[in-house]
Amino acid sequence: MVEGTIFGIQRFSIHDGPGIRTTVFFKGCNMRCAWCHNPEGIAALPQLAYIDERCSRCGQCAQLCPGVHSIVHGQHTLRREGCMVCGRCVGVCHTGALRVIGEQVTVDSVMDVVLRDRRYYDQSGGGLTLSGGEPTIQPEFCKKLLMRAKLKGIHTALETNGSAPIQQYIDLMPHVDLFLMDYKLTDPGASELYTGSTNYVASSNIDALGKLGARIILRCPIIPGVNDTDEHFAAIARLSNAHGSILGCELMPYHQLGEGKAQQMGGAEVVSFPVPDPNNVNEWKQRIAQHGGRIYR
Amino acid sequence: MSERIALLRETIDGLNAAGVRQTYFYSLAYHSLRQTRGESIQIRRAKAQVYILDHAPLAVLPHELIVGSLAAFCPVMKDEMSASQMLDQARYVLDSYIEQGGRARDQSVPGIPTFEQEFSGKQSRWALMSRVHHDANISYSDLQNLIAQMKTEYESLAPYEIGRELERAFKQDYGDAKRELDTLPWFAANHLSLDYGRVLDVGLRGLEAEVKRGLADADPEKIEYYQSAYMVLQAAQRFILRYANAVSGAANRSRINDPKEAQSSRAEELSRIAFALRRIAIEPANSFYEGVQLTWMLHIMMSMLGGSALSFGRFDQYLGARYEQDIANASITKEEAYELLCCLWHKINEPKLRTVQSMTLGGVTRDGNDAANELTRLCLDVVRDMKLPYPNVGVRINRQNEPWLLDAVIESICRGAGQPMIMNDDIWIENLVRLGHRLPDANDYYNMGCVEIMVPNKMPNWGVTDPIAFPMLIGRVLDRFVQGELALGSFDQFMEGFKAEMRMAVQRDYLEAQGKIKRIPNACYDPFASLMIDGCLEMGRDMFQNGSELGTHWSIYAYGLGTAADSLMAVKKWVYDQKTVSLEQLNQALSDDFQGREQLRNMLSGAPHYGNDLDEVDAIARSVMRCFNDAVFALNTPGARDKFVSTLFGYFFHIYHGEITAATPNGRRAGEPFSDSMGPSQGMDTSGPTAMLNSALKLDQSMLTGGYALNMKLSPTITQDEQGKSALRALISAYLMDGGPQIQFNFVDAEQLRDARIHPERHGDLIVRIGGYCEYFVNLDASLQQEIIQRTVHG
Repeated sequence: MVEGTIFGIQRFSIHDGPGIRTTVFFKGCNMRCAWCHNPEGIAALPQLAYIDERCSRCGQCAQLCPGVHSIVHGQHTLRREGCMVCGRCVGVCHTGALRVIGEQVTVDSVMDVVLRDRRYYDQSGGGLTLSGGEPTIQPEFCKKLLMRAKLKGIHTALETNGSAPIQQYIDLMPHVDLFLMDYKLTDPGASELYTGSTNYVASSNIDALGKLGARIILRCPIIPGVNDTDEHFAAIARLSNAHGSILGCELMPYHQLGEGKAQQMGGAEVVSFPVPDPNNVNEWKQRIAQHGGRIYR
Repeated sequence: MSERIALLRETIDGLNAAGVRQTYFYSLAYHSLRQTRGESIQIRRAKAQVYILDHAPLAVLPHELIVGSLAAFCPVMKDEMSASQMLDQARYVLDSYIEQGGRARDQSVPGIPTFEQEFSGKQSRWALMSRVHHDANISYSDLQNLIAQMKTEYESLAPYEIGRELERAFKQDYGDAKRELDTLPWFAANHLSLDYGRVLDVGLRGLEAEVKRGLADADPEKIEYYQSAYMVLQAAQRFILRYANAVSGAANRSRINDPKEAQSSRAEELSRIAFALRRIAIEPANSFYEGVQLTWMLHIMMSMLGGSALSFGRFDQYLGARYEQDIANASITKEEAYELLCCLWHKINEPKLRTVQSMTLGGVTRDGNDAANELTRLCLDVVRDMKLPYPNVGVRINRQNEPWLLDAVIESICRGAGQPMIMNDDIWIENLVRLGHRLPDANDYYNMGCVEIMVPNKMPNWGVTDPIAFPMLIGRVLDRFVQGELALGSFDQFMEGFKAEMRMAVQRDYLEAQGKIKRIPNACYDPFASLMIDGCLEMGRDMFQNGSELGTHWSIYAYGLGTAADSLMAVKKWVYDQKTVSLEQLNQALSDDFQGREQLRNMLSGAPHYGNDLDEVDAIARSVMRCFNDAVFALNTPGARDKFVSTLFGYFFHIYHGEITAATPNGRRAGEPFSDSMGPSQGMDTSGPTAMLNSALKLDQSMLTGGYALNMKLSPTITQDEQGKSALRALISAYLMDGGPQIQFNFVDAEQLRDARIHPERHGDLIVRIGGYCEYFVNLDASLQQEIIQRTVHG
């Protein structure tokens, strides 16, 4: 019984909410952020990932699946359009150059992993975090997983891009101890340009949820040249303070990790931006603080 | 770091870099032993100890507040070999080795070998790190360079053979003196803790009173012990007085040579030290300073007499009250005490002292109350700031300890000191009681050497036998199968075969220990050490002759759990469950070191690995460890004086044994290291630290009695912020709460280490944890360095 598609479960996760957590990465996203750092989470279906540096050109995959893999003049070519992502080539690849990203799982199988680290959640105030991709676009699986975790007495956090209908968030509220809500952009024009989303509703969702008393941390990707603007910092500051249950904002400075991963997936729509240094980040925090914003960390 | 400490560090770094050192130990001992032939062994030993103490050259180093040094006792060699002489010698050694058919020369040691002699005579090489490069006549880096060059010149020899032959050949020649000592044999106290605290409390004068009482009414059997004790006791007092004179001399020289103000204040300082030495040569230690100084005097004397791996035991217990009292009556400030301890820490890292000297902090008192005190805290500050490899500090965590203790431990680890390691009182106290110790003794345990658990002050040397490499036993099972001795129709039968091999290996070690036990009566004596092992003075017997209050812990070592569990798992999965490969085919592939069977090797190594919280393979690991612990525990008979303990810790044997062992069913190639101590196979614990610890927590720790080491390597990037630190704290707390026996951390990233291999000169300060202790990375053999780099970096 398949209930959801994920592309990874990360244990000892210490940057996705409080304490030691297990983060489940949902596959599939409804946004197309140009700076995406988890591009392997964008497509909803499993995909074949290929790492050229690891390939020994042994040709086993080409033998098995000549339509997709070919090795010519010491060059491995992957024709993705013919690939059904059956994963058989991964079985013969001994160097780990090929890998299927995304697996179909059940609530039980995910919970089996999650519950193993209860002793560390108890000691650290940690728990389960759903991330992605975007968890809310697999609404049933997302909700079931959260409910099961709550039933087992485990703290839950939902990391979301904030784009789901407000009613969905309200339905999830009883099962979510902490929302990690993205707040990406303030300028609506930029939103369409950089995220492919014409109707970016995060800000109103955050406000509405905050009003209902949901505990929220704002997660703000800051991309130099895109949203390191005073207007945006002021908006972050405003939101971070809008309601008592909003714990503050957490800045997620841009990094290039996504680019390499995008390449392995056959190239996704990821763009390169300048990488900020720690001084930039401190300066951003100061500016937000000057606007009266609350910094979570 | 204060100016004094910075200067002292410079001085001691200079001493360590000064060149190859010799020792006066052999010539002094020999001088006496030649004159006492025909006398009883005990008396000869005592007289030789007296002679050494009376004639050892003394050194007083600039800037130090605690005096006592081996620097003059172990002077730098005058004529070191030139580079070309070394090369000629190395080629000569290897050519004759090849001429003799490549057989390792017989290194058997007569009598009862010490811990290191024990292992250095075996098939593999020993000097995997500079501090075990004993009695060498070239520097460790020269040896490493020679080995590297000879590897390119002698391709027909296995690299480990080259290393082994060269390390054995480049030795000091102490001639007849060494031969006389070896045949005696000279068997000094090692791998134990002496009761320094008792001497601090009653003074050498107090011991003398007891010896005199013994002499007055001793029966003839005991009289020789008391006579020996009296001689060495007097010699110890003279030694300290000689040091007092040497310090006074240094004070005078300082006044004459440089009458400037700064120097004269040093003269004042030295005069005060000399005064204190004159007092503590006789009297109990009245203050914290006197306590530290007397401790160090006793430690240095034992080191000169051939002692090694001498532990400071529960340092915060025997000195804690003195510190708190001095602080209370304002006779010392916290800053002064801190500086004093920094001095001591540096002394411990002087040349020829870098054997694993351990120190235990925290835990509970003998009567079970919270033992952590202000001195515990101060010591942890020193550990955190000094970042020195020795002493090897173990902190006992008990439910009674307040949270600050673990906080201080985490802070030190996170600052990159690599220390301390953590021991869980829940496990060790209960298990020592189960072994038959009284609760106060169990409450008092400490880590000796690396991670070995002992009761302080009351036991003679830790007893060693041949370590058991779990993975090597699998090879034996396959051998017996091929020879038709075993039917292995199911995995259960395979496991039974493996466990039978394990029980036989334990039995072999038992017999080895029995052999050693038989040779101890009337042969082993250490009159000096026996002044400070509880029971000896009362009983009128040497600690080796049943004078000690408690008997010996004979350790049966085993390690390589990860490699063994992964190998057994691969056999289960591919031979029995999936039937992809037969045992015969597997055995052939292992003999061929997977030549032409790369695909099979990949398949084998694709089986589940211990350390990832996977129940099937973890259950195999549990069963391996349980079988071992049970087999060792069963060697004990209730009420017996000596006890057999299981020590799940591999020192660096995982490399040493790995080099000489064929391929294993987990896909490990011939010659590659086994997994280290109780850890997973190198680089195979890919599911993060919680999964690794969960795997370890599935093991049954209830019969664990000798020691345990679990290394966890974390990237320093994880713990640079408060978030990471508190995560680490929670990780450790959960592990301890649920019965993890021991854990130690390593905080270096692989990049740093790789760079250190290329540019050792830039990374002289890099400390890593190996086995159960810390060492400078650049002082390690290339293969050990490689192995450390390969261990997974979590996060």
